[in-house]
Amino acid sequence: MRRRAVPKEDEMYLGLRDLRVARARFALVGATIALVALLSTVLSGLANGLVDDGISGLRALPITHLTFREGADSSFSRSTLTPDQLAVFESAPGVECTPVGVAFLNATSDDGGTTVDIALFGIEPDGFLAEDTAVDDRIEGGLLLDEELADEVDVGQTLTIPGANASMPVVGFVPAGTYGHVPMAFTSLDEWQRIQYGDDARGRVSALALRVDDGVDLDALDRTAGTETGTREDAFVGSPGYSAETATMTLIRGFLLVVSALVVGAFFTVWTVQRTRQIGLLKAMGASTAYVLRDALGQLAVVLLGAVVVGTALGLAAGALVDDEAPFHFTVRSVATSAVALLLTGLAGGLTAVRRIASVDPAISLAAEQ
Amino acid sequence: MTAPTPQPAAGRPAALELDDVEVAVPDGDGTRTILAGVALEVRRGELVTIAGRSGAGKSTLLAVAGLLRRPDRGEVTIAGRPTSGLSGRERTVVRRDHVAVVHQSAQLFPSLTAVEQLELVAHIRGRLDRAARERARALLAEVGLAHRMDALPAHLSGGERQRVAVARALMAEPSVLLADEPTAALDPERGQEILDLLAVETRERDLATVVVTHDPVTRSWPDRRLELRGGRLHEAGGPGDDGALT
Repeated sequence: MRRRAVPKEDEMYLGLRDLRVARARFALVGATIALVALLSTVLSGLANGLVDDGISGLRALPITHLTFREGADSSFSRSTLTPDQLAVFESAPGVECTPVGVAFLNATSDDGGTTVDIALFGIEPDGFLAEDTAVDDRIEGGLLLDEELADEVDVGQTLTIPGANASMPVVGFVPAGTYGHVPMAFTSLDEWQRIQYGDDARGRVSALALRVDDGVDLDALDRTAGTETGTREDAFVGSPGYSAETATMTLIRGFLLVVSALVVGAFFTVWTVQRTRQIGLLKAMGASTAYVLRDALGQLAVVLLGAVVVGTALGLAAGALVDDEAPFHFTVRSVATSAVALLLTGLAGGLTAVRRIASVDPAISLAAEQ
Repeated sequence: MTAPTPQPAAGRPAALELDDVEVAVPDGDGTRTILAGVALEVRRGELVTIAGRSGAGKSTLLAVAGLLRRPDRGEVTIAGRPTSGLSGRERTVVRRDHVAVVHQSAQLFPSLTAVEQLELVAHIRGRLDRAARERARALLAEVGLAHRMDALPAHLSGGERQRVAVARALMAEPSVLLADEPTAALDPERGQEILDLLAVETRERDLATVVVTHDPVTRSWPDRRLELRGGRLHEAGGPGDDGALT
């Protein structure tokens, strides 16, 4: 193999030494980009946390699809299905189906000292939702609560649903997750119908949880039953506040990326203009435009990478510090996506600045100094 | 350093040739001719000075000779290679391999130490190895800066900066050395030292050197003294002006 005449660490000769000598100048722009990276990382964690808060319980359910009443837009509270509609899906080949009732309720302990908000899921004790989760037949006549509520109520304590004239004992805690930003709770479908409809339930439920084999014509089933079926992920949008929260976070992160591109672009534009004579001199000394561009882009990459790594690390630390106060949740993917997006937009901003290098005339090095 | 005695360059090959070079620049609605058919031949080991009033076109002439600017007409030949038909990239390569410029006010890179200014020349050529690093140090020692190798330009005096600039130009091992008012920012004594240094290096390294200057101290040692006037080069022998060369 041919040995390189120039050591790899010296690919960028002038740019590295500029960084060394003009430390304060580069530290300033680096700190600005790092702050943007910090904000971007924190927002990424917050966005993930909010999403988790909205749909983590739904995401954990062992299902592929959910069926709602036609026009309900994946919202449990807008959807009511009848036994006839359930029968359409129960009889369909390749479809495993179990009814679900969902209601957002407020429950108070019998001594009146504790009040909790819950997303109450009524499910069949012998259906696959109960069988394939930590939920068991204790839900018949009782409440299984998400473990987040273990600090507020105790097993054996009775919770009363005001207005529904229903009281149920807490029979245990499971890692159920949350839906619509409140902890999930499970009870039997019969109990849920009694709370929701009293003695007039007539078999009504909120939705159907499905496991569907490949190739099943769900559209045909929907047409027959007057329902709309979507994947579990499609149903996330029905979680209260989900769409607005995601859109808001996406917008803020988008603005941050634009700000980052502008900051980097503005800095490197000024830096390049200030260096115009030096660039001309480099070219007069025989440096090709590619050589000068490589040097400038290497410098840009070092500043961006350093700032984004520092800012992201600070963001992760900040998220860990306030984890108990806000719904933060970091994933490797979301943090990496946020950092890479920042790097790319920063590079784009910097590229628009350094591209003017190509047009610098080497003869400028002979012009009289100002 | 003492000024060397001029050596006859006749008979040696020309490293720089300008033939019927013409340059005009926009001036209001028309154009103004800066160089009007200039012809110049500088042989290896020969040092030529070109004087001229401000705005006479000295820097333009240097830019054309250094392949930093294309003439509107005429031919520039460097080390025997005509350049008018070359692409921009080819001109860059010829410039890199054969031409070095000592600029007015040294024009050093503020973030590079004295020795790094020279190493950069090797880096641009993709040849920054141990030998190049040693050569850079040797050249700086040769111009009397062995004790200032690691100083940044901000910590060098005007004379030291210009010496670094000369050493940097020599690092390129050029055939043609062009100096643009190299003494403009120096006091007479330092200026004389730089000009002597250029003269010594021209002889020792067999360079074809062109110094654009209006400094009278140069009159003691160049092989030829020319003056750029009216877009043409004249022998600068005295008030009688013994006629245009071109």
